[in-house]
Amino acid sequence: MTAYHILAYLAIAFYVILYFGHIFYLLLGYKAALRWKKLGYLEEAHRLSRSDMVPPLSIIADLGLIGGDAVQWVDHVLTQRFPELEVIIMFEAEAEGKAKNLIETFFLRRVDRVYKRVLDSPQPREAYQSDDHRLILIRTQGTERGASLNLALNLARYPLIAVAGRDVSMEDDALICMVRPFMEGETRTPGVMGVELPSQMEKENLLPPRRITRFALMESLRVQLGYLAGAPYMEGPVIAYGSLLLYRKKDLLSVGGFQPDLPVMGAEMDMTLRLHKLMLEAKERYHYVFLPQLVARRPFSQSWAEHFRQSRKQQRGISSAFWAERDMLFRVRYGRLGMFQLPFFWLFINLAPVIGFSAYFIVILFFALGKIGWPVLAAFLLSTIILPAMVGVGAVTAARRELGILRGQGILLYGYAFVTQIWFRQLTTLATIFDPGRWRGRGR
Amino acid sequence: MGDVLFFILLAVVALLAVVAAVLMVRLLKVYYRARRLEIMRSYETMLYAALYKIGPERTLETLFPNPNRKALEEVLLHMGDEGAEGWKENVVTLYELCGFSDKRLRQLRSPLKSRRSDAARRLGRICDPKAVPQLKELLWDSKKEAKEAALYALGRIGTRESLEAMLEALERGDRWTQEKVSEAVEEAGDESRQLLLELLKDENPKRRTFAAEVIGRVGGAEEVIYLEMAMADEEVDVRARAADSLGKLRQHSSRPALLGALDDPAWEVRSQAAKALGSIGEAQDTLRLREALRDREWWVRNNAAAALREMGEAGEGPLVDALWDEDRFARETAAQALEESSMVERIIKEIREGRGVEEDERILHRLAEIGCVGTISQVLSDLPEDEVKAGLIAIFADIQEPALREIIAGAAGKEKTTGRREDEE
Repeated sequence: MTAYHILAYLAIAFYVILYFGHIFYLLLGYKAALRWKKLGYLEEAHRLSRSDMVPPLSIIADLGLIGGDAVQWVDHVLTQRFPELEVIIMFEAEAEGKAKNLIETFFLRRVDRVYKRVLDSPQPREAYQSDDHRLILIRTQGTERGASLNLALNLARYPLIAVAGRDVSMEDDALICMVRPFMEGETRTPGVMGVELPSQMEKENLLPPRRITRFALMESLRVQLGYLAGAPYMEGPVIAYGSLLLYRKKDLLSVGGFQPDLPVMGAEMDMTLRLHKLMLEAKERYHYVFLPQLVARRPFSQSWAEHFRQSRKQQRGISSAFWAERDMLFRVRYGRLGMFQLPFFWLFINLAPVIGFSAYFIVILFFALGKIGWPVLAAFLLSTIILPAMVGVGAVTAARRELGILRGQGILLYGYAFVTQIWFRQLTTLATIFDPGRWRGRGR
Repeated sequence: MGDVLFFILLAVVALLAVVAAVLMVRLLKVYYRARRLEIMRSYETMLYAALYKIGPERTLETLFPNPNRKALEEVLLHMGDEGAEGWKENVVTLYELCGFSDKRLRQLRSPLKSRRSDAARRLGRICDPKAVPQLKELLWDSKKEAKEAALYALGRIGTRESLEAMLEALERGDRWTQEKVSEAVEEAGDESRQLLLELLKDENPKRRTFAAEVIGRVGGAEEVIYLEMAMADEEVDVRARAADSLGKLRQHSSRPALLGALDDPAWEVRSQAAKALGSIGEAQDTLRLREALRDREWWVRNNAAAALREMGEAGEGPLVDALWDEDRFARETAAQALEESSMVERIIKEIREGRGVEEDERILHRLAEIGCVGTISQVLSDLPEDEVKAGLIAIFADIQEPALREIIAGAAGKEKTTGRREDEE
């Protein structure tokens, strides 16, 4: 066996390991979905919405990040079936117009809100409140998103906290379904997420009209149903972010709140690791929960430029979070997470696209130079085409079975699922590598 | 080239074969489902007609000598779900006679968790009281799905024995179990009230806490005395829940116990007692609530202020009084409650209508003096330029609060501009 063969086999092994990892998580995700179905989350929702025992919830949102009509958004959240909730909306000068609308529509009155200042946070400039105290509008000035979240945490009166992301629109009964894991006491639940879909999907949840959005949807389904849903079985997920995340306020306070100088996405990602750290240091039995059930919708990318911009932002968030918690790497006290999952993520997030493209390059080059035969090339192509296609198709099948979406677009659908895994993710990751601002957060 | 073409064709044929097999399976599934539904419909018609008239034994002998067992069980479970009075016992008996009960009871010991939970859910749907002892054991299963199913089944059965079994699960201490047990207790009606009162005397603090909480939802005036006794419990949680429940029951007779609880060493109890007194709304309690505004714990102060606010006019006096309290926290909490009760707007309305008194101006001045200028700023900026506004600005002349100064400066600027325009006109 020559050195060329060894390199080609290594290339094959890389792809086989990578995609068997994906398939493994997909199966775990499927197992999780079956389990949630058996526990009857949806069926219990109606009953729970009338119960006194459901812990009350504070929803935090940034007015600048609420897309479309903010009044409609707030109205929709306030009409969610949930026994007791409050909505805390933070805003800065740029969202002045939207704030004025909210104040007028909900008859908000300016008050001097007295609160328990547990976390270090800036002072609110102005506070407005509805007569029933369910809607609170807070003006801040020149505050980073992370710091603004901490201020909202100080102001929140309730034991559960939901953080709403950019342009999110909540599904009916999303909150009542997401609250249940916090009520179940066998293991501690530091955070709960759920499936999010593009708001641009056609009627009856068919594929969105634009091609880029379709690709983004396919990749998102893989991440959600193939990684986030299955990861809790493996003490994960390493990094979690989403349009709607629920936490326990006590846990957030125990880790000192969100990183003040990060944007919302970065702060959430960093929070995942810090909560892992908190639980592992306290030797608690815990698991994050990802409900394989639709909880929110948000607009997915409509153009390549937008897509790359979002991916870069996401990568920056991941890098900042990893860098901030780098002391967890190779530490036995952080268990499987510190010893395997984090190093694996570091490697794959930063090096996978480079290794992947180099593998393609060398195998094709060696074949062209006649250093390896066609059986090796065929094996390589099989591992780089068939396996990713299986992952893509598996994610779509899971979405159809578990979420009841994307029904009736057979060949087109599986075509997208197939193609997305072959080049879309790789291209996206590669584009983010050349982002000059990628390591900006590291100096913190 | 020929080889390559052969392999491509082979791959295409294989793909087509897979697609054909999938389609065939789906087709068969649809066919069998339709057939089963048809059978179930006919069984259901027969059962509804015969079960009541000729009883379960004869129904089985005459109408179902050789039934499709799966379909029959589904129909019986469906009838169990409906749970109509008069039918229930017949359905349970027929379920037993068919041997389904024994089979499902055996399955409760299956090594497969899915089988255990499925069996428990079925027994729960049929409401078979004989299954309670085994379901009780399943509550301590190692798998969550099985425990959950046992809880569901016991709740559905709803007899005293099953309720008692469920109460044992409270030992787990999680909110979800408490929720399920409380649902069952509420559905059980009056019988459960006695059970809760017994539970209030239980040795286990988790059970006492649960009882103290649920009595607030299902109890009435008769239970107040027991909750008052629970206010002397050694466990903080029991005392806090009892105080909360007393607030929900709103009985004036429970005031002394709640007033006493305002001196409890645990802040959880003090804050719940303050909230409960607010719900009862007796004017005599305002002074004690006013004192609670000086409590060292934020939640107690917050609840006391909210309680005084809820009391309306009766609570307003003590809140105004607290604006001059030497304790900064008491002052600010009272100010927030007054702002929330629209006091500032009311005072300004009275001033505008010429009904304002010196005391009103004193309150506004004090609010601004202690830095609570949120509502004042809002109202000032909303006011038209007139004598009233000028008068208000004069009241705040000596106050250096930056936010207020900003508003006043803005108003003064506007006034000047308006004046100049008038001159020009």
